Amino acid sequence: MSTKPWQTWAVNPKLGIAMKEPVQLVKIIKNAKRPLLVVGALANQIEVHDGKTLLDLIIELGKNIPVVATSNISKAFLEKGFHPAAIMTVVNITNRLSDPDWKGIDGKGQYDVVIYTGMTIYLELQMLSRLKNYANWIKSISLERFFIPNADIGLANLKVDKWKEGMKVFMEEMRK
Amino acid sequence: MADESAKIKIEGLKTDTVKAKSIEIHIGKIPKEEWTEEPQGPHPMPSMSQLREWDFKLLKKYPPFYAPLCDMCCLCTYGKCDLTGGMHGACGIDLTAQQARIVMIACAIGCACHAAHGRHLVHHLIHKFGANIPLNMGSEVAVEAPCTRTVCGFKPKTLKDLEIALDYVEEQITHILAAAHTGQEGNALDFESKAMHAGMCDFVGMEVADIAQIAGYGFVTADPEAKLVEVGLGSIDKEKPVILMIGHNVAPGVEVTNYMRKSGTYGKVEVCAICCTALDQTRYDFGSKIVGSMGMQLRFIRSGVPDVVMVDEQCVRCDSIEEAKKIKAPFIATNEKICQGLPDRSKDTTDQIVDDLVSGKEPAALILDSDKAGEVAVRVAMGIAPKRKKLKNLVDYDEIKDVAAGCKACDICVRNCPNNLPIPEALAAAAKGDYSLLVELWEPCLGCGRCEYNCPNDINPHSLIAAAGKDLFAEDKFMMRSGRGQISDTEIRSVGAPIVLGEIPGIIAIVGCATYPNGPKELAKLAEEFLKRRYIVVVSGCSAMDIARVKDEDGKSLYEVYPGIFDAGGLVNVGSCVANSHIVGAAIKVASIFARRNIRGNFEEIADYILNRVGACGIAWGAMSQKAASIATGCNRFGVPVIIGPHGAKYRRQYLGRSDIDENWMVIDARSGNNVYAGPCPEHLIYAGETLEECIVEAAKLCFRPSDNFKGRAVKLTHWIDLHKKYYGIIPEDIEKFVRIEADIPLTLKDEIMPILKQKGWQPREIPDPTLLPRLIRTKK
Repeated sequence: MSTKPWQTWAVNPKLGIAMKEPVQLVKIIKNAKRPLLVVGALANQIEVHDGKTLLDLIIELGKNIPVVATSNISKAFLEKGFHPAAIMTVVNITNRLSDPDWKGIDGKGQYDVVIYTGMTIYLELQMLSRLKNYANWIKSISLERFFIPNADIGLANLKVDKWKEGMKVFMEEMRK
Repeated sequence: MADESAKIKIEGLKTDTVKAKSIEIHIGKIPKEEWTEEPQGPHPMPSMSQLREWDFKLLKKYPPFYAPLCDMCCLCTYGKCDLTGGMHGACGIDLTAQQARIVMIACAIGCACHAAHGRHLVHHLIHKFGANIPLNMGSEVAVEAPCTRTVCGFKPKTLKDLEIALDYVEEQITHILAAAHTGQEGNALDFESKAMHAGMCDFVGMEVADIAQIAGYGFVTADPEAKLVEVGLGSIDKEKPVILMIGHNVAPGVEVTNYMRKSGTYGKVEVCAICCTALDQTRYDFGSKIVGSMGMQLRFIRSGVPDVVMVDEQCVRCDSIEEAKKIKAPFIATNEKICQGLPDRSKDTTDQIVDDLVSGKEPAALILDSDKAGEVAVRVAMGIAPKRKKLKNLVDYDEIKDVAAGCKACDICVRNCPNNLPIPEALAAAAKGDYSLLVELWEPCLGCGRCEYNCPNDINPHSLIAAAGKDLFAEDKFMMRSGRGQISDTEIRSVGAPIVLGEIPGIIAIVGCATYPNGPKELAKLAEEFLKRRYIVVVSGCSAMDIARVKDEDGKSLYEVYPGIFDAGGLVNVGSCVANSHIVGAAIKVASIFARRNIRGNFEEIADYILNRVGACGIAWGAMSQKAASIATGCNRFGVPVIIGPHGAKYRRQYLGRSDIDENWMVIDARSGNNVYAGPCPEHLIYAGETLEECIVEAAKLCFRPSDNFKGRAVKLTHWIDLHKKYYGIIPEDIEKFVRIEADIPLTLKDEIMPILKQKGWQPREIPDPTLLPRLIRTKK
């Protein structure tokens, strides 16, 4: 598949790396000292595998990685009995992530790996532009099935089935 | 008020340092003083740097949050310059300043658009009716031009006076644009200050444009019961000759109506329009129809229904002339800003132009004479309509199926679609005879046509969506209240106290363009949520039209259910883009009429008043244009926060407060001079929302003000908490920041909230008489 940005206009001199398989992200996430998941409002509308949605995967990942629920996705999380580490708008969390002095949600300091997913694609692109240009201590990752070049590392433009399959393997590896 | 100019001639001058002969000093138009009720404030007609101190106060509280859309600069031939990773451009500029510069340029463009629109109207109306036409805004409006009074420091009384305000605005735009040149301004905050200056000047330009057309054309003004008019594709009677107008400047449209009335053809020709021209046309002629917002241009022209396409200025698609040619509809350009390469026919006889366009000898004409353009449009429509009857149909389903079968599912269309719509899936279904997925795209499609321009297989998804939705075309028929113009002084007297004390929970202004993430119907949900809660909902521009596009069980739009009065539960359509000035104008009037603050040349104090006391929040959910950038930034300088939709993040800059840093939320208590923590009220000046649900919750939150009394704060908390629970599923986690004293807590929620406050170590605090301006402290220490 092409590694040109999914949204064709999102061309800039500095483009992130596009991975062909979600599983290639596992090592980076597992090696993170202070990872954070930022989850957008579409998470419960994106189907993955075995009748699950992206939201279900996040809840599982949320056992080990703090989750920031942006916008109204908090309601879907709470309905499934999962309380995110924080509920705030995506601009608020992105603004704080780009402040070197921010102490984090738990007061223990900034994050080193931040994973964005489940978001309106062009809004996520802009939020990751902020981190790319104003938060060089953060390695940003996008889990969308589209190549979002403002993330340091993202996925290549994957067809739906390939992405679903890839996410299944990704989760299997994350569980290990 | 009248303007005066002066010429001073000095034959000879000799001082210790100067020796000169024959000096002439020319002073342009200056306001002649006739306003005795109020003393002149500190900043009449402020220059680009005179309100910098105010801007910097705002920018400290709400620092710019830059998210670059483009990491390069390509404004000069040194470049392109890559500004990533801390690099500077060849001129020395860095990425942050470059973002701010682009925003400033956008605001200057937006301001220039409205000011030039106003200048054209004022010239045209003076030429037509004379310079001394009084600015009569109705018997219940004494403060006729609150933005102009506040910024310029004078009271305009006639059309001629408006030229003084425009002179000022035009000069400021020139200075602002000059600052964008290579080797000029290099500091991001100073670019932002200049962007705010452009935005503030924009409110003067918009106000001038709207009160000029109210005075000149006799539009209704300050009328809560302005008539209901028809909106929607289905409201257009295609059996009649149809004139479609697109743009913002109503001058040629007025002449269409005038000619029809004069020639006895009124009612025989269907006159309709897209974008703000539509709104203003229906303020002059209630029989005209509103097709819809900007995104309807391609869809409606390609339907073949228009017999004539006439454009004026702003937000007109650059390819509208080509699209008109494709359906064999003569195209008429009427404004110097959009000449489209056409020969100027302004001096030709009407008969010649009509003959050329009806016969097809010429497909288009530029006519820079509104009277002539109006007559030509009517006569051409009547002459050509019989020949075009067979062209007024969208393609049929069989044709859709054949074209869709050519799709290779390469995804180029969806990758170019601003809303990332699943077009290939819809085409695949259509190729099998299932059109339902194409029909589903009718609503969220922005009508930009990028899918077609980029398709390597020459498929035209936009046209196919329009054709598949042709049943929706007929159903697309609603009623909306025509623009009412200003908010009357009487209305302000009635609502001033409840707004400032917080008992009316807020003013929600839903304004701006139509680049919505999920289609226009969301807007009705947004408006209704606040109308039911008895906020004042004010609307304008494309948003005002799109709010009408949902009917209740009785077949009524929101305009038919809610009254047009500026009061709790009112749905107030002020009019077109330029009528946005009346929304900030209403906030100024609260300061002037209710609080008796002097507004004359007193911008800083009035903005301080609005920021701290008037619980208003603008929502531009589909903001797209440079004008929207300018309006929003102007609102921010006036102290009104704005929420933009997710596409708005592409403006590159937001002004975000940090609710977690307490020292950012200190205000001065004007009673004591003490610095007091007032909470994050309002939390942001401009921010991009992710979803409509978020927008609703955050808009309620952005209506909090430090001055709310306990009753008002309780009302505001009730709505915010309720909305937070409804859409986020939980009570707000930062509630302690918004409760100052126990009486702020809504009675019904006390049992729920008090334990949370206790857990967070909340302590009561004083409610200040808030200001950011030390000069407003009443007691000297």
